[in-house]
Amino acid sequence: MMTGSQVLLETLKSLNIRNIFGYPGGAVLTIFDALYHDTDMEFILTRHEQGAAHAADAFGRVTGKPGVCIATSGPGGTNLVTGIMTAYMDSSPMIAITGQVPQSSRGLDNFQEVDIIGVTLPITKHSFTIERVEDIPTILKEAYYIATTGRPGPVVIDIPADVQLGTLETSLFKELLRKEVTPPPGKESSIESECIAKISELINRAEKPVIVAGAGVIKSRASRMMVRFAEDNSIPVVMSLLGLGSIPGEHSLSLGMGGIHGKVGAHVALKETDLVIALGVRFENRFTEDNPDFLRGVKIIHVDIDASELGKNMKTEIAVHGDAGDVLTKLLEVKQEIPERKEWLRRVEELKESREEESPSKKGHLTPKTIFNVLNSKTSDNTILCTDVGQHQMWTAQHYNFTSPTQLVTSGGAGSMGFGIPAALGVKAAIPHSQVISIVGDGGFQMTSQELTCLKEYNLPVTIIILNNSCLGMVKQLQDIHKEGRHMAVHLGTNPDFVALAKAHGINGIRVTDQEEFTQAVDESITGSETTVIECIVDINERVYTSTS
Amino acid sequence: MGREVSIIAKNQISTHYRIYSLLNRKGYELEEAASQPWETDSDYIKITLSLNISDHLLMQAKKYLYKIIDVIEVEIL
Repeated sequence: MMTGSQVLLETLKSLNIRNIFGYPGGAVLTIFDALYHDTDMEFILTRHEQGAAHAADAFGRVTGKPGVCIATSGPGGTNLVTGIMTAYMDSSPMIAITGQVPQSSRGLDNFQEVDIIGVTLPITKHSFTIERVEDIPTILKEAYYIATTGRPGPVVIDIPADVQLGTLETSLFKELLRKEVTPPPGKESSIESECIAKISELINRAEKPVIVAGAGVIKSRASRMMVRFAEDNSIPVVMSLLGLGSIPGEHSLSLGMGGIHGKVGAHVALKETDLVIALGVRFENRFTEDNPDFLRGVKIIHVDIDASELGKNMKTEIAVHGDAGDVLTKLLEVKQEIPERKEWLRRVEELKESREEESPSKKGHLTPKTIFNVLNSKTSDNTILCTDVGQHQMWTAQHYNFTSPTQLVTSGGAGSMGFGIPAALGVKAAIPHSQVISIVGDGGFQMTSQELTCLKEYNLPVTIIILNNSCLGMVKQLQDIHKEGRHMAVHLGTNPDFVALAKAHGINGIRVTDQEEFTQAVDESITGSETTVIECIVDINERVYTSTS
Repeated sequence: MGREVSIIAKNQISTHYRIYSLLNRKGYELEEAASQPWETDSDYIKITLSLNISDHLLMQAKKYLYKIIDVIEVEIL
């Protein structure tokens, strides 16, 4: 005989899930009791449920399997909300399990009762309330399928306390586990050969085509195919934030990130292009710069796994509901003479040389460019960069040379501050042999710094680099642009001593103010076996280049 | 002016909740709604919505409704 909680854990293990991030509470007592007796599941106790959700999200981004987080009812579940929303906005596979009051108490507003299904409806791909122990295996398997197929996303599973405690015969559990899950009906995409022929024809006629690569290329594991397609057809590539790494930054056809904080060359190429081939990108407002004339008059071929993205923000010449990898496979099969596009390629070379304005260095401060020059020289394909949200996030996107897909783990769609440290935790737990660096700002650091303890406790050494400019730099920059420089609530003049704070968590901490100190600190951290917090002093007046500057 | 959409979806406690949550999230103005068991399979319900919506947004609404896991069919009437 098994309890519902044991059924839950054994089903997760049958789905090859061995890591759970979470926080206990009254409504998940039985699940945690099952974890107590379980020797296979790795449980990481974060210090806030938001940390658990971000860690699970990051885990899912780098593995393609759903990261799993667990919280108790009421505030435990609501503390997961920002993390679930972050995963939803970036199409990250996640399973969030919440405890709930017993079914007999439902709706009585008991202690820590919250309709978490209702709260998370707009930010989940789907959600389930489990009402019977025997439903656990099927629902878990359905949740896994939904989280990982089509456009990935988070799934919430709410489990009442009585279901966690309920019992099931072991033989029946094994039978239920073997049952095949019926996927939700008929929402598959299909790509017609006529469509592929039309796309090829358009590409051949174009004089200045550009590929815009988004997260969908990476999620589809189609980066190599895209690079080959770009090379075969002499087409440069602009990336969205979450598409960074889909083509190596130093590739002759890579123009870097587009959008409001993108590279100059990418911005100009999109103004001059006559055809855009958009792969797995959703043209959200940070990419289109909120500009109603963005790509006006340009033919757009839009490929996306989510049909609702096609035609949502941009009018398309050809819309293809399908997986980027599948479409690229078919396009690569088309044999035809391809124009050389020598002039366009010469122009692309010029655009690659375009440089954003750089700030002069100042004594006692590090410039963002210097920081990333050092990181570019000290890191490799094995490095995974997590970021928090703010100016440092954009500097990472602009200056770091991504050489492979899944090298960047960042909150793009949601822009959730506090993502950086727990994301590093999740990535290191997922890929222990990877070199994980988290770039955070002094604002975001303070939102989830409590998770530093987990890095120490679970021996997950990473490097945390704080770009401390004593302000909420991105908001301050927006106040400069849109509110005539009226700075309100953006100065963090009284920050804690971050080095002392790191040491309080049992972690190495060092403050650096010039390139030499920073280089040494990075060297020691990435070759060492412990987590280090490196606080870089950055001038408060440093700005992120924007396309409107 | 109301545009009618017919939805066939699994009959779960949360089905209506999900559909109305979507309308709220996307800012679609609901004028009328009716719901009844689906004559073909009583495990499913048929929901008819009347939305005050442009043609472009109606097509988008159809795609969003179809994304809801429990929805198996969406038809613009």
